Amino acid sequence: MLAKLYMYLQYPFVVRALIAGILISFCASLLGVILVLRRYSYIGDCLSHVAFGAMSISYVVGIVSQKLFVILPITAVTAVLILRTKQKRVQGDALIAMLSTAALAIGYLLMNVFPISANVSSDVCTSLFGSTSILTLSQGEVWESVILAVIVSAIILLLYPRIFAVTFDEEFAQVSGIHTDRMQLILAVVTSAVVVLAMNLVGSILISALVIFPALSAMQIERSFGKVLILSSVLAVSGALAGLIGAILAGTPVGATIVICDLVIFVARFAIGTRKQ
Amino acid sequence: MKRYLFLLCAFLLAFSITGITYTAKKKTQELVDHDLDQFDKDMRYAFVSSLMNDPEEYLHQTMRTDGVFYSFQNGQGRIHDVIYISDTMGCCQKGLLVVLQDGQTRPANGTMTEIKGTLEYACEEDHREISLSSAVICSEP
Repeated sequence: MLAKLYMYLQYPFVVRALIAGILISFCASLLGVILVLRRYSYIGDCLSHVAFGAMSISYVVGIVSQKLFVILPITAVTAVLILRTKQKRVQGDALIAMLSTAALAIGYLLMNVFPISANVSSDVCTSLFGSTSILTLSQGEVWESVILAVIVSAIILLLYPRIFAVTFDEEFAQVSGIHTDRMQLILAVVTSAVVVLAMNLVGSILISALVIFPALSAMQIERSFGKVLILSSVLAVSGALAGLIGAILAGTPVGATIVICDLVIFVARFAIGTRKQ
Repeated sequence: MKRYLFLLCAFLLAFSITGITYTAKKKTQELVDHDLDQFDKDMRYAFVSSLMNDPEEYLHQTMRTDGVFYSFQNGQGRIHDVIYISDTMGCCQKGLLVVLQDGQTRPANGTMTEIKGTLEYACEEDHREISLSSAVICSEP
């Protein structure tokens, strides 16, 4: 088994998959803690479906190579709409469910009505389930993951006190002089960027798992916000690494295997760990 | 803590030994640079995808794979041979151009074929494309 792993590790596309997988899951786990605490656990799923819809639009208008310029703005605007807390006509979970299903339907419809290639099922399979997309990343896409990881880590470190305040009590944060609207915008843009890149890793159906599982597992073990952030990122990276190696060795789908590893970590906490009082 | 460190060291040692043994074995036994028959289907598809995106990295290297063979004629009457390699689910596939060695018999269209050759550029009408050149059919007809 180790010989097989060694053989695969000699190929650059496998190394690229490991680097991107670790970095994307690290970013998703950091944001996951904030989103889960703010009761927006399902936002990752919604945004990924919106990203799928936006990707279909980019295919239809014929800008496949520059699709990020279409996907990212549409996803960011949707994230702002969801995370905006005031003046909502449709509230929280209903808005997420509505946008999620509508975007998925629009995306699938567009791909069927205006197929860019003969093999529509391949495009849908790759976008929704990740399929082999993490194993087919280019060097440029790996650099995008590196830059994203640096930006997300820098934002979390630099804005830590403000993020903490906005996450736990938004009204108090506003009274304390924190520009909560600006913070929402930053969080929305970063969340959408992470979700769009994470689509390559696990596909749009399974993104929520990357956001939710490490955060929930960490919250079961630690109680302070800082420690939960650190533990969540450690668990996410471990899950991604185990999932990627497991998938490569066993020949299973990468996205699903990573999610199963995250689930095993979550369940294992009940078997071996107890929550700190 | 000591137990985890010990386990980590043991894993790294085992991995290094396997690596050295694997490299030595590869040097003595290997007939082709990339034997895709040893790969799982998804990895095989990912390899071919990587080959298409970054052909320079694999140029002049030998490769063996199996896939579905198709032969078709273009508008100018020229025959093109392609081997299709798909992922496990069969929803994604890549077609690799094949330039058969003289004297090789073309398999029937849609036949699962094992093929061996060298990765070289082949000149098409207005562009060049990575192909499996001097290809030999390994599987029985």
